Amino acid sequence: MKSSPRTFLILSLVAFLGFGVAYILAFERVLGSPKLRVEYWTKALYDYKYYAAKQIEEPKLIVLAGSNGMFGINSNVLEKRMQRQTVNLALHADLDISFLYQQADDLLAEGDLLVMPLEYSYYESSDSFNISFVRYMMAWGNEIYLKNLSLLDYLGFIKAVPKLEVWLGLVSPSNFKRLDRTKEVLYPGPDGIVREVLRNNKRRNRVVFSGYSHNSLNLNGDIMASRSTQQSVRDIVSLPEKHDSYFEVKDEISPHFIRHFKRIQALAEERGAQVVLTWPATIRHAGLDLTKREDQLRIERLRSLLSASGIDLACNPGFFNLDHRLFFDTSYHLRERGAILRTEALAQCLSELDQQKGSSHKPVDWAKSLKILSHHESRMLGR
Amino acid sequence: MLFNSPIFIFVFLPLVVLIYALLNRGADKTLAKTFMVAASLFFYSYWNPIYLPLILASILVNFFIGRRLSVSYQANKESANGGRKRYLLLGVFFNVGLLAYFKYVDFFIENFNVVFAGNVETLNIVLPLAISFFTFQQIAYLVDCYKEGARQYSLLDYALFVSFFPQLIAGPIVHHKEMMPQFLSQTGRGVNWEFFAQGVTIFCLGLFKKVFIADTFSIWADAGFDSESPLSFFEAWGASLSYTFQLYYDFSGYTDMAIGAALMFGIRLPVNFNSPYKALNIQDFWRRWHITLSSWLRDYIYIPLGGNRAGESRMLVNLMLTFLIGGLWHGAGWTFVIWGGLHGLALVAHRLWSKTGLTMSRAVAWFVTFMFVNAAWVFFRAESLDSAVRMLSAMCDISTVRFGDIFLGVMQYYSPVPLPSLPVASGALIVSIATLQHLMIFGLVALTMPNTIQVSRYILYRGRFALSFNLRWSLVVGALFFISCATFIGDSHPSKFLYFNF
Repeated sequence: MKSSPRTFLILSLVAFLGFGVAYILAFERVLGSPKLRVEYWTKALYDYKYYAAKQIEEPKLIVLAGSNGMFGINSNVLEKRMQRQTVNLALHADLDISFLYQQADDLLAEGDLLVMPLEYSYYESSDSFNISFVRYMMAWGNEIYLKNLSLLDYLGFIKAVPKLEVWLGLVSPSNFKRLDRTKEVLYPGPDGIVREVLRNNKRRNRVVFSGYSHNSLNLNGDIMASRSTQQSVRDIVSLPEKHDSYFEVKDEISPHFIRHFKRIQALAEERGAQVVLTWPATIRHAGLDLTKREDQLRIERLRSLLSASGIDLACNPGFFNLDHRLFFDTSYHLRERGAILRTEALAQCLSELDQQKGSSHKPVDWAKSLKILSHHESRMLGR
Repeated sequence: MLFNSPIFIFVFLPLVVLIYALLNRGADKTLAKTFMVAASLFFYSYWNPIYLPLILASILVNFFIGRRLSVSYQANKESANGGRKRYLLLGVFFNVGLLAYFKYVDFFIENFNVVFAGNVETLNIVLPLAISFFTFQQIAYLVDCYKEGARQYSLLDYALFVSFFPQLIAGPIVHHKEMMPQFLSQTGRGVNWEFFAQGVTIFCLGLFKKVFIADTFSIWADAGFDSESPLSFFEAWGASLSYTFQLYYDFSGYTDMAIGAALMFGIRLPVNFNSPYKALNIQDFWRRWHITLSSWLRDYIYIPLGGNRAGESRMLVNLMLTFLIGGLWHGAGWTFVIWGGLHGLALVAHRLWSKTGLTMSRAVAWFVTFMFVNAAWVFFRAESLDSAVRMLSAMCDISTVRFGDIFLGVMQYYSPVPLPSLPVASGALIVSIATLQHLMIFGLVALTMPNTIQVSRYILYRGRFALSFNLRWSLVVGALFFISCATFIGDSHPSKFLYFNF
């Protein structure tokens, strides 16, 4: 039936608003639904790590990063060197810096030391949320993340959601939450995960590495890959098309990162805690080789860009670009020996920072650093 | 200010429409026009205010030269007055000089350095927004004042004609004869709701074309054209076809938004696109693509050069020259010159073919035309000649065809559950099944469906998709606007229109 132009315009406006409301309702209905095509193994890791952090009442050391921190930091070494209980909350580099802020907000207390060896991708992140993060948060981040967002950030998040995901979430026939994409193991919920991790660690003196699973977690939240270097790492080193150059030096650090990292800094200051941003562990290969001057300059440029934004990148970067034989399966995942070596270097740096009580900025003596690193690598690889 | 930015859609446009409608209700239109000129200049300078004096100076100089030409035309209708010609040349040189300085000086210096092994520093001049468009419009005005003694307008009307914001930045290139009568007849009528509803519909269609269709194509086009590693056959075709459709949806989307916004003020802008990729020959293509530019080139370059009045061979030379200039107008670079030259050659070839009396089937004619246009766009888009040649070579290199990759891609994309055991198809970052899907859907829409100007009944159209103010169309407009907003709201930087660069 034909209407007047004015009625047509009003109906169009109503339709526009109607579609908007319908979409938001559909989105909210899909949140947390088992019909989303996401595995819950990251959530399982989060469940236990969060539990472990909540158990510590005295001033603690918290590690917050992507998986380079989870595979590459040995909390036992840190606890002994730093003389404080340590919890490794590092999880996945796809988890947005705003998510890390919320974790810090939830867990940081007076006297805590928050150590953040962030992957380089954090410094390049765009304003928009990455797809992988969006999927994780839609699947399991509603209560712990989305509900805490401001209205503007929430709308920004909804915008980043691929529209097809909402539709698939509504119509997909799946009705169970899988822990793993290949094995149909059901997610038992946070309490079930915590019980399983505690049982694994109680049954054996030392938890056995069993892949990307909460079953590999030790009581501090680390995953120690007590395996040899996989072919995938040898490929990364030997095949040019597989080189990961880790980061490009651009003219500016992601404003999204700066905004949220500064919020973390402000939070720490407000709570009487301390934050240390530091280097991730990387493989020494053609993509990033800190024995070469051009890569040393790249690193120094990154550091100065951050410094220009008022953010210190602490510690000597030369100690964190390691021999590929210390890595397990990806360009960021150390195996156990590598994790011990890296953690010793990190602990040394944190102790020095603690003594200095100030800025970590002093020029890197590359030749000396590389000599020391070479010595320690030989020690570790010769074991 | 971009048409696809929230500030324009939700603040600037509604406010200007409202205030203009209120001011336009009275008998005296001066206030409404003054407001529209001020709003348009604000719109222009919102991007970068430093070029506001430039457009103001351009308006003033052209207005006074035009007035002088018109007055002298009335006074000396019969005489070929040398003084008048000098004024025309002064005006044309002023306009071409501005364009040459801002657009071509650096190009000239670079080429000078190459040819004479010189070391002259480029000036790194930033191209003022819209200069190519308002320069052409005003040259046309001066020529008409000289030849026909165009009617003398007030400075306010003339400023409105040049600066009217819906068409200011990237056209359509409007002609004073089309626009001035409309501005002059804007009596105190308030809002024309029929025009307004039609304008909103066209604007929403254009917005959807830009932010949902064109900006998606741009992902694959940019990835392909900016790739430093060699492209495979499928990647090269995916990137070039993506650019071909990106450019169409981007520029025609922009034009739809311009037409829609102007209609909200009761002004009809000329049609600029009429399903160009349906063209069956290259002449047909130029009657459908950027129609206002083609008309301008015909009226103010081709015909003054002699058109077809001086014999066949001279006509072919004129065609080539016109399109070389058209190419250069788009950008100061050899890739644009080559693009223009290719189109000139194609028109020459078409002309010669027509004279043979030979025919080809519609399907073959369409295929040849489309393939030529697609290949020529490679020069238009590529950053350098090398890059264009690499892209065209990859499009011809069937040795890189891997049908296994297509199969893997399809399996990965359409599988209802993740298939981790399948290797990732090579080239998945540049073109994917999503590219193919987007090309299939929106390519077919461009090639087989009526265009937005038709369905919105901006031109005569009585097909089954014609706009009617009913519930079904309300849902369509609401849905398109919602999808568009969901696509662009929250972006810190709305994507620029491709023709803003020209």
